[in-house]
Formats: sequence, structure tokens, C-alpha cells
Amino acid sequence: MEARIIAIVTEHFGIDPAEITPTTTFEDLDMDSLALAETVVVLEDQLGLELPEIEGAFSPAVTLAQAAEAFAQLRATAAAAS
Amino acid sequence: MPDPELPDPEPESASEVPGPGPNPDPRPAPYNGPAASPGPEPRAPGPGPGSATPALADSTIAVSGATGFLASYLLLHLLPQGTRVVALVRKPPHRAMASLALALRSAGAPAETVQRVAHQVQAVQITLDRPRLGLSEGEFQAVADSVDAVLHCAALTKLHGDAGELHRTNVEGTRQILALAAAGRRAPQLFHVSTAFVAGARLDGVVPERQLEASGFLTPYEESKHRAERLVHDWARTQGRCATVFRPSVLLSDRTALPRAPQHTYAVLAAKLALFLRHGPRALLDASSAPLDATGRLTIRLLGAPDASINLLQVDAAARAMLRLAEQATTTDTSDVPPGARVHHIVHPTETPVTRVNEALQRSVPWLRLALVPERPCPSGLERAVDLYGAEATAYLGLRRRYERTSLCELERRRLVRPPAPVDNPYLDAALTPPLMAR
Ligand SMILES: NC(=O)c1ccc[n+]([C@@H]2O[C@H](COP(=O)([O-])OP(=O)(O)OC[C@H]3O[C@@H](n4cnc5c(N)ncnc54)[C@H](OP(=O)(O)O)[C@@H]3O)[C@@H](O)[C@H]2O)c1
Repeated sequence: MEARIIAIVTEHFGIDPAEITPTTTFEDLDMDSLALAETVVVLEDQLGLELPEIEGAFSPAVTLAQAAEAFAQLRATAAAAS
Repeated sequence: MPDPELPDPEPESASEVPGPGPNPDPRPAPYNGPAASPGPEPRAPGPGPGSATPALADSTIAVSGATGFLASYLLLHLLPQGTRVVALVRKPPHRAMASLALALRSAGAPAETVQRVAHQVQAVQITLDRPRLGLSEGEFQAVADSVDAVLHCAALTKLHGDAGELHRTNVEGTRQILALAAAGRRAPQLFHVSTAFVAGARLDGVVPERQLEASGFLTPYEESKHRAERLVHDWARTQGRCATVFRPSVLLSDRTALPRAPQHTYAVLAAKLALFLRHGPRALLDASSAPLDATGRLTIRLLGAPDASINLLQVDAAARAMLRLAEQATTTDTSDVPPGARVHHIVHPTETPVTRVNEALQRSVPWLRLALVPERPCPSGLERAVDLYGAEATAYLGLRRRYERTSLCELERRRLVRPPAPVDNPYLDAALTPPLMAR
């Protein structure tokens, strides 16, 4: 999941992969709240998952690893429910 | 035969041609610390015959807010001419330089212009609202002494931001920038970017190009910008200096911003609207008391005047006009001009009806109908949510005022700038395309 998220973020937002590690936060990537909301939408679309809310889903201080963890949990919950 | 004075419509390509000969610079090199040293200063190309603003080309300008939306369009024109820039930034210099380059690329700068950043721009990290911009006495004086002009673009532009934060950045920040301009031994020209919205709650009539009394404000942002502008007027009078105040209206671009680059206000609005409405009309229905109409469209009533208008101007036209006025201020002999700040509205000659903006939004979200209504009994949950969510835009649905435009009319009459093109439907559609849909 972490690698997927890093790949999506680098590709969609034109970020140099060398700039990113799992401990990179959204803030480190200069994302404001709107860019962050857009990122969440892109991640949802690409991962086929839906978070309960978009804005405020992640704070700018959240790392990509933590975001990956949240999506992984969502996937596990969705799988258990189906 | 084109008028020789009219700036080239694509200066970044034309003025890439270096000037006719070497350009001996008699002035001291620009400030060289505490930021990472840019290395030996490259020789800037001479103003050259195609240059729009030769006096600015031959200057070193301190620019606050250099990483922002408007500044990127100003630098797009200044850098190819050879202007040296001391960027007063809040991020660490290497990050600010990367943001500045990204903003320039997003504004459409060709690679040659972006490459100039490394040679012509020096980032100095500041704390805008601190005494001496948070620099040591020596650093502050060195920056002040190294520049021929100070262009103050930095501001917190959240219309409904926290009043204290708006005051610190916009008012106290301006105070420190004025101190910088006062300290410089070359008596740098001061260019202050205010806003047409310092007119506040004046809903009708023509806003004059002079200092305005505070007469009520629609947002805390405009109040802070009014106070900042007042500091500039007071400063010019008490210091016996001339200053230039630019009051732009809402600046638009029809380019889709690159990811993470600064965007214009309406692009942010369109992006927020797209996020808000992305699940379609049926998902929103339970929050709305109004049913879908026969064609499946959902109506959202916005409180405003049905004949409200807003002044929208292409950012590139704004940048050209501002630079032309700055050039004029730089070359005018001020010895017999009374001190004070000259105000210039940087606005379009024609106001855009708000209904045309709404129609453009409806073209991008075909199931949406936006109605401007003077009264709105029993607002639905959805309408209340849109008010809150779109607060940046819904503040300006009741204006019918216009702006004096003497300065720009004079430049246009003398063919020093072209009048801006109409803000027509194709332009509005491009400006309001949500970035996520455009990518
Ligand atoms: N755009 C318009 O439609 C419009 C219309 C009328 C007037 N204006 C005025 O034009 C100027 C530029 O606006 P813009 O649209 O370019 O805004 P923007 O894209 O939001 O840029 C604002 C700039 O100010 C900097 N800044 C903000 N707070 C700061 C602080 N505390 N310390 C240091 N720098 C700070 C930002 O730096 P970071 O990159 O680090 O965030 C950024 O470079 C502002 O004065 C605004 O009031 C704009």
C-alpha cells in the first residue's frame, strides 16, 4: 500500500520520487488543505476505496506511511464486510 | 507597422535575445547572505530593444510573496529582461527557490526563464511580521541597501481568515516592508500590492483611485488590506517619499495550474465546488429541500443581487500593466512631484455579471443550477453548506460598483499596454475548469 500511495502521489502531483519517503508528510510536499483534499480524492479513485470524509481525512502532518495505513485498514474492513 | 512602444505580447520569447552589448553594472552586487550564496553574479543581459521595461530590467528588486500567484506572472516578465530579484520568503531558501521555479513553470515560463532563477534570484528567509523582518541589523541593512525597489506582494489572502493572523501578516508585515524601503540607502521605490476590495462595503458607485476612508468591510481580509494600504499612504507622506499602490481586482488565468503551484481564487473555488459536488445530485438530495427539476438539475439558491457584478481581470494583463506603471514610476523625475502614494486600479474595463460566472460553473457541472436571489426563505441544508464552504465567493454576490481606471486608460491611450481582452465564456470556462478534471 505504501509503495502504491507513493507511486500515485509522485505521478499525479509531479513530485520527484527522490523527494519522497514513507515518513514524508503532506506538509513536506507543500500541500495546502485543498491540495490535500484533491490528493485524497485521487487516492480514493485509484485505490477504489472511500474514506468517510474528504476534508479533514488527513491532517497536513500525516505521513504517507500513516495514510497508507489508513487505506489498508479501510480495505481490510471493506473485505471483512463483503 | 506595430507601435514601437507597445510591449511584445510574448516578451519571454522576444526578450530572451540578449541586449546589444555588455551591460556594465555600476551598482554594488545584490545582497549575498544569509541565504545560500548564488555564486558569482552572472552578467544580466542589457535592456535590449524588445524590453518592455528597461529601467526595471536594470534593477535589483526585493519581492515579498515571490512564490505566490501574482508574483510568478510578474517574474515571468522581469526575469527574461535581466532584473535581479531578492525574494523575501518564509520557507527555507532551497524550498522557496523550488516553489518559485514551480510557480513560474505553472505560469507558463519557458525553460530559459526558469533557468534564470538560479542566477538572478536570491532567496532571503524572513519572518514578515517581526521587527527588521526577523533579520539581524546587519542583514536587514544589507538587504535594504542592495535594492532599487521593493515590491510587496506577500499577503494572507484568505478572505475569512482569522482576523489576528490577517492583521499580523497583512498589516504588521506591510509595516516591516515599509521599514525596509525606508532604510535602503538608494531610497528604493516602493510598490505595494493592495486590492480593489479595500473599497469594502461600497456596493455601488465608482471607486476612486485615491486613499479611501474605511467605510465598513465585507470580509476581515479586505479590512486588513485597507489598514495595510493606509500605512503606505501615511508612510509616503511622513517620509516625504513617493510610493505606488496597485489595487488589482480578481485575477484569473486560463491555464490549469501545475500540481502544488499557486492558483487563482476562482480555480480554488471551482476545485472546491468539484470536490463538494463530486458524488452527483442524488447524493446531495437529502441535504436539499428542493427536488431535482424535470431535467434532473438541482437548484442551489445563492443570496445576492441578481444584477451583481464582479471585476475579473486576466493575471497576465494585470502583470503587464503593473510593470508598465512601475517602469513609469521608476523613470519619472520626482523632484517636483509632491510626496505621497499614487493609487492605480488594476482592473478590467468591463465588470463581469455574476450570473455569467454561475453559467460557467453550470457548464462544468451540468446538473447544477445556481440562482442568485435577494431573499432566501428556508435555506436547505445544502444551501447552508454551500454558503459555508464557498464563503470565499459568496461574500461577493452583491456588488454593483465600478472602479476608476484613469491610470490604465492613459497607458492604453498611449498604447503602452493593450486593453485586456474580454473575459468571454471560453476564457471563463478555462479559468473555472477544476484542476482534477483538467488533469
Ligand atoms: N490574486 C488575486 O486575485 C488578487 C487580487 C487582488 C489583490 N491581490 C493581492 O496580490 C498579492 C499577491 O496575491 P496572490 O494571489 O499572489 O496570493 P498567493 O498566491 O496566496 O501568494 C501569497 C504570497 O505571500 C506569501 N506569504 C503569505 N504569508 C506570508 C508570511 N507570513 N510571510 C511571508 N510570506 C508570506 C506566500 O508565501 P508562501 O509561498 O510561502 O505561502 C506567497 O508567496 C496579495 O497582496 C493580495 O492581497 C491578489
